[in-house]
Amino acid sequence: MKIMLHVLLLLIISSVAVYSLEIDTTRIHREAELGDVIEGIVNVVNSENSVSLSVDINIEDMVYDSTEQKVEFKPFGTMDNSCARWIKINPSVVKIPPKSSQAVTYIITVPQELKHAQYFAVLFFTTGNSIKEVTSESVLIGSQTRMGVIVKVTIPALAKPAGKIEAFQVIPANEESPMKLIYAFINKGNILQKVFGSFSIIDKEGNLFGRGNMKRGLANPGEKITIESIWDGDLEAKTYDLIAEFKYEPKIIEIKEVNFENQYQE
Amino acid sequence: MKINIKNKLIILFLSFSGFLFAEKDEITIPAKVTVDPYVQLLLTSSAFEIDIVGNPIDKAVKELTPGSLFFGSMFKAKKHELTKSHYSYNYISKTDVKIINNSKPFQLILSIVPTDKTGFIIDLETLDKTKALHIKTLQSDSTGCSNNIHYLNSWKDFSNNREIVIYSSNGEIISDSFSVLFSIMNLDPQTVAGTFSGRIIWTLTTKL
Repeated sequence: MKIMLHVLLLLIISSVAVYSLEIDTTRIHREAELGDVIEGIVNVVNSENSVSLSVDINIEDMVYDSTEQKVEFKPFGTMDNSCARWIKINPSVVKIPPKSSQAVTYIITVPQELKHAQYFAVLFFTTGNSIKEVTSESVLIGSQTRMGVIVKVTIPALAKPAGKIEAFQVIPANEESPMKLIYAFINKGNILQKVFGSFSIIDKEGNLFGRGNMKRGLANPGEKITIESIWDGDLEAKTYDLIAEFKYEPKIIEIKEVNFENQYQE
Repeated sequence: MKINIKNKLIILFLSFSGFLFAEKDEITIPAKVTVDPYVQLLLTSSAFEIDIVGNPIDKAVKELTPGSLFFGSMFKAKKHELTKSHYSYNYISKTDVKIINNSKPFQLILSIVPTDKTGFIIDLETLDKTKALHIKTLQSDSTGCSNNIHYLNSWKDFSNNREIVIYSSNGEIISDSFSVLFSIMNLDPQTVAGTFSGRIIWTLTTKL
């Protein structure tokens, strides 16, 4: 009986397959001079007890979609501001036994002449594909996991960050939605801009009624973004001042003040 | 009531047998992905047989190969209603997602990659001319970050670039859980033929 229980337990354990992928670097953001060589290591870890891990490492391009506020991946070396061709990876495939790790070296060689002030790529660490070939089945869809390490190389000597908050609006809460804060930012420089916004709500006597952060916005050079955030704190029905502080490069702090009437109270 | 040692062993054996068969009904395939000390993502996949209107039946159709989502040749060709979503397959595939200790903005993207140029599931002709592979997210647990989860409770087909952002964090420190359902819908039986394959890729990246 005891042996039978052990066999059953083994069957139960073996019916669940576990993949585990762990890397110790999620972004490689570096400033460099023309001709610099940047080197580093990404450690890939297999923390599982019983399953070996096969990981492919490949390089792709990426762009930032300002409208959707998300990263998009593109084929290797197809974008104008790609640094994918500067990067050498060694090794490009790793097989890691259980409870082990392996270092992957990257070398980024910055060219002597460049057109842009900022370049991007992404290193993908992808688990092996369990579906190797099409079988006689009519439909076969596999699943893989991968980690993306964003590479951003900025050349300070060429960078000219600039921008401006073009509009800031507060829409007080109503029965259908909480209070909205909307800002528009235009990137007038030649590098990707990140805009951080925070705010405080005070009444005419200077009493603080609420504070918070707005959604971060990213804008490509020359592009305008509009970012909407919500604040669902409670306010009495009266008049308030909202003071917003926006931060972006080159270490600019821009203040906006909006007076609004809150008529809706939960 | 007296239960002797022999009976206890029999009860124990039956309990383990029941657990074993329960495992066969719902096959789980966890895939744990960890990004530095700040972010951890845990994926667990299972498959459920569904009835004609898409409700899960308490029975699995086949064991999943680890890492696979759909398989076989079990198209439902009986019911075709142009006015409503039609489940073209006998089961849906579900992945439970858990994200913990995130302190940096990141996004979780689902994309589809064809295995080859001749067969690609989302390019199949569908009755309503949309993509065949649909997803929706179900919130099973939350710490106040439901705004980060996209496409809650409604089916969504993949965009033209064959990818969908399903979770987007602004850097809150969270522990969030949700489920992603996959379904093949609205296939046109007149045009479906041959073998179709592809891969779904879960991509976790920090934001810029």
